[in-house]
Amino acid sequence: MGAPESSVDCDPEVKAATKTVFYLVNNKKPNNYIYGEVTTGYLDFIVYNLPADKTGCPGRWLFQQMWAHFMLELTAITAIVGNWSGASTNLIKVNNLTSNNAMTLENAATQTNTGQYATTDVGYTHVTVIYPSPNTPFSVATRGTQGKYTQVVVHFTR
Amino acid sequence: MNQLDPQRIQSLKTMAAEGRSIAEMVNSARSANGSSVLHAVEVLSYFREAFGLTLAQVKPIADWLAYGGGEAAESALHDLVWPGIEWRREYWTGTAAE
Repeated sequence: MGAPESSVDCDPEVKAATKTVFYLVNNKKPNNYIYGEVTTGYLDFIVYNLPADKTGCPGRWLFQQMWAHFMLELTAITAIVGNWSGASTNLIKVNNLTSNNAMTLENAATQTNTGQYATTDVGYTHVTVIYPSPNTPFSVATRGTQGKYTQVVVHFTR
Repeated sequence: MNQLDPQRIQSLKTMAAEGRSIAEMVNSARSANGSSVLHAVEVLSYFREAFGLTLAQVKPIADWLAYGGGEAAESALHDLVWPGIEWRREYWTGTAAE
């Protein structure tokens, strides 16, 4: 696999590529990789390019490689999962955008990196926020309030 | 991906039974046996295998490994990941009828 044009220190290597799993690392930058898997139509993934110093394989390019792989495999994808916690850039962006109730969580989610990949790049434009359910209290779901989320879970669908 | 080491899996279960923090467990899993430090994706695989968790449930570990963040981040990591492990206690202690 070739590196994207004009990238610096991007040496991509696909570690796993099946109908439901895609795993690609950058051999020149340890914290630069994507791992995604599709379970019952839900694409969940992690992607990093840190430090954010303009080197490495861009996150958007990594997502595009993963997406192209799953399309080639004819893997059915009903939803793209956004699941952000800790100091993730996506969570920070959501908290900035939703503080003081300036924006809904749904709209803020579309402006994250993952949101842009899902909505702009592949047309999954509908956003559903996943909140804790009384029946499944330990499920992975959105925690916190506007501007102070500790975890945000959203589904992007067509 | 590399095959998972059963001893490392058992070690995670033991640490969970002892009530150790997620950060301690992650650091232990990464560097066990004096071998080279595991990649984050492999750490996630160990947690998933040990405790029967989904990618979504262990994803905060990847965020924590990527971004770090001191004691507050460790505490937040624990709060996000531990409930899933606790919920699956019967699975990883072998008391479930699976």
